[in-house]
Amino acid sequence: MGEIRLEIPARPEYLSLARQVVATAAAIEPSMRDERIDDLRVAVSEATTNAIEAHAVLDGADRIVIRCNLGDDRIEVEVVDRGGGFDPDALAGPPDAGAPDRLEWERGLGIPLMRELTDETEIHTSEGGTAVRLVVYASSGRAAGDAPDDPTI
Amino acid sequence: MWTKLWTTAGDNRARERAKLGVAGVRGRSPRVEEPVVEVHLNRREGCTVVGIVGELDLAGVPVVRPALLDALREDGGDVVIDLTGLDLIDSAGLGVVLGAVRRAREAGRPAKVVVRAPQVVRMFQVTGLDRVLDLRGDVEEAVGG
Repeated sequence: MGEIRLEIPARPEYLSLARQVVATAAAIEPSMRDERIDDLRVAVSEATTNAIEAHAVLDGADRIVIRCNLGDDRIEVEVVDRGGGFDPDALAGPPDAGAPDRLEWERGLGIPLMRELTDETEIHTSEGGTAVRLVVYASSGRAAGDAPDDPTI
Repeated sequence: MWTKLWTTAGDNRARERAKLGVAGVRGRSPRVEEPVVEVHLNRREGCTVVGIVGELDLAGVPVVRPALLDALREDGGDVVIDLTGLDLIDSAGLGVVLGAVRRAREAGRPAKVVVRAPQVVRMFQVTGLDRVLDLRGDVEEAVGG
């Protein structure tokens, strides 16, 4: 399958479209389970949100490019922005769940979530922009029977 | 019972789209630049119940955050944030929910969060927020105690 390329204005209203296009592309692969597509939708949402926020300091004319490539048993998504870049290793993660200040941590979950939800997350960033590469394999991740626990417990 | 509704769409498209999910995108063109989230406020059995329907991401923050803050200003006892109508939540959405729970607790009002869709439950689990929030699986149970 060839590459699917989506170019969107750097505005939050387009997040839903980005997720839907990527989910639709992923669903072409018959072995890609809905749970993995859900994971990918959120990972794409995180990468695109970061890109939109990186563009906020620009004049708004530049667009964000999202490329999808479906391979054997996997989908690869790249989100490319022209924002100012950042140092992903310098970002502090949220405190542990039991920490008293955990509830005050309303931001900073995006990159840890991307890493958790995908099989591969690579971030290439410079002053000229950032490219985030997300890969999800149909055959990995949560097992089919690995349903979330009852949240009431 | 009284109800308030926050949405800039003026119709039920957010709810319709929430039902579509992954399967829906295969057969329906997305409508760009429409809000994908709605907020409903109800008062039930001494609780303030805030229902969020659709997809909660950065685009929904300007709609949902003020609606939640409005709801917390109501004199409505315990707070129940009902996310059973959500099809998707990402970290921007989690941040809004977290902020609302924190403000409710600061005001001395216990806050419960109701989750059902597997993707939404998973986000709370992956981030460890299931261990710091009072998560429930059913609104009736949350309202009842």
